[in-house]
Amino acid sequence: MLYGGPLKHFCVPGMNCYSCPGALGACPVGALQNALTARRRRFPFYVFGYLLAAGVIAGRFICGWLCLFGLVQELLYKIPVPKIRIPEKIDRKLRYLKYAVLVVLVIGLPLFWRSPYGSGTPFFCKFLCPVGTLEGGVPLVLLNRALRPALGWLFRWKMLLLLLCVLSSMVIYRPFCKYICPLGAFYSLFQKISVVRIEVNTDACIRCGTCAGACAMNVRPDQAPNSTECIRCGECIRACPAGALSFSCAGKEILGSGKKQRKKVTVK
Amino acid sequence: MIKKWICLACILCLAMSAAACSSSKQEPPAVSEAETSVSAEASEVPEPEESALPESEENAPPESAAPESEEAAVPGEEKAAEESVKISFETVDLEGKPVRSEEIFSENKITMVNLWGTYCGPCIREMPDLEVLRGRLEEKDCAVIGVILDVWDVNDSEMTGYADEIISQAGVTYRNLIPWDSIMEDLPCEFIPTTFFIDSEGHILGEAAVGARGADEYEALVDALLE
Amino acid sequence: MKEKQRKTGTMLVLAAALGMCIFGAVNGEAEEVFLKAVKICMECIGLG
Repeated sequence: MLYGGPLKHFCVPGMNCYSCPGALGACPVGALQNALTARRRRFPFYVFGYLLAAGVIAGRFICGWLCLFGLVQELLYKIPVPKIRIPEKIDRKLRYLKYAVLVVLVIGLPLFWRSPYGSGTPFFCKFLCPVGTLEGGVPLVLLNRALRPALGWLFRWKMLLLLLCVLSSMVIYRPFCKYICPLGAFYSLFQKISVVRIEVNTDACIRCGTCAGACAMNVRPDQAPNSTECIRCGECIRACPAGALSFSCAGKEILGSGKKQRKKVTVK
Repeated sequence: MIKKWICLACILCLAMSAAACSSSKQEPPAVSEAETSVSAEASEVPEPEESALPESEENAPPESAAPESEEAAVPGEEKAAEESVKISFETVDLEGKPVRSEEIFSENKITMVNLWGTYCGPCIREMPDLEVLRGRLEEKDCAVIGVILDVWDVNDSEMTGYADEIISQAGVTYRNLIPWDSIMEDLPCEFIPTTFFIDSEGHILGEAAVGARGADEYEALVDALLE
Repeated sequence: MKEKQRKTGTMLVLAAALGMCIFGAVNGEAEEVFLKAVKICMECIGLG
């Protein structure tokens, strides 16, 4: 049922559980956890190198365009139920939670907490990740009868977390991406130096704030275009009335809004 | 713009899922585990011992795949009759002593082959239970052996060292083997720990037990197969 | 951040990343990733 071929030597860039029947590649967070829980503590060059490369090439563009779970959250948000607006102060503090998840659950505990047998535990994958439950756990339990006797309290806990995630995705835009995802947290560190970025043409910008209004991640693209919270979805580019925003790749503008830019003459 | 991309992403995901599912049937047996697990399940259906197991009726759907998967069988895998999958292998144990599967299987009515890895917490946690089980099974002329999936080379002292540490700490006295070339086809599993039940001629009996279980649960499974 | 500094930073990180990836792959880490992605430990997927 699962793909067991050579492509699983490679990780995919977004969150994608390798226990998913449709998965052709390994999950980067899963692979990182497995490397860190190995009995001999070695720096995980291969996986870390891959994450670094993905982050410095695309940054959180991966979150916006290449992550299946991000897509799932977006689709859930489209369900017409009342939306919750989190107060800005709380929202800003909560955004730091994903870094704690990265440092503690993905790196720290797996690396340093050992069982009496000397083996590490993949804390994030085991206790928190709803992506694995949705993409792997649920389909496998439905399709594979042999697995069912093995289910216990852990599966019930993960299903509860998945349910919370699904429900909150309907009323908040991408809550997992904003507050929990350790992969997004990692990629966010490279936003400012990534090859693919968002550029603001300050001459053309009329400071109307339309871009901030269009941004579902509560970023102000005109002031902080490559903020750690930007998932590079491109909505701001589309919304900008002056055509001042665009994607850029290695400094060259690509995928602008197509709108004619007003050339503003700045008097110095 | 977003809507178009979302649609495209959905289509890509569906295509990838379809590609993953269908490719596993078209790829050569060496690479595809799905095919061999289907053949293993399907071939057990006609066996008379299976009637004791409630799960046997569910094996009906994969049966239609049995003819094609048998033709695609890996050369090293012997098939006694169309009924069941018979496995045969040669490998070494953790101390480097050569082992032939016939030696082990012929001594016991049922041999439990437990696939585990040094990286797998649940596998290690169930090992004391398996040791208790070994004692109980001895009276029934059954045995437990382990295969350590991540110790590929018996000369790799680091990995064999880890395995030895775990084994002595868990108090395990049953034999543990190094994986052999055709293990992915002979004993196909996607998750570990997985335990196969093999009879004295090397046929795989019933369904493999996936996930860590207690000694009592395993004993009940063996008892059911012994009938 | 100055444009040139940023570009240098990007190139350095990218070079380091590719170097690490190749080094790790040569050291057998890719095989480890593969094994743990096809013989999946039940704990890693939250099924106990």
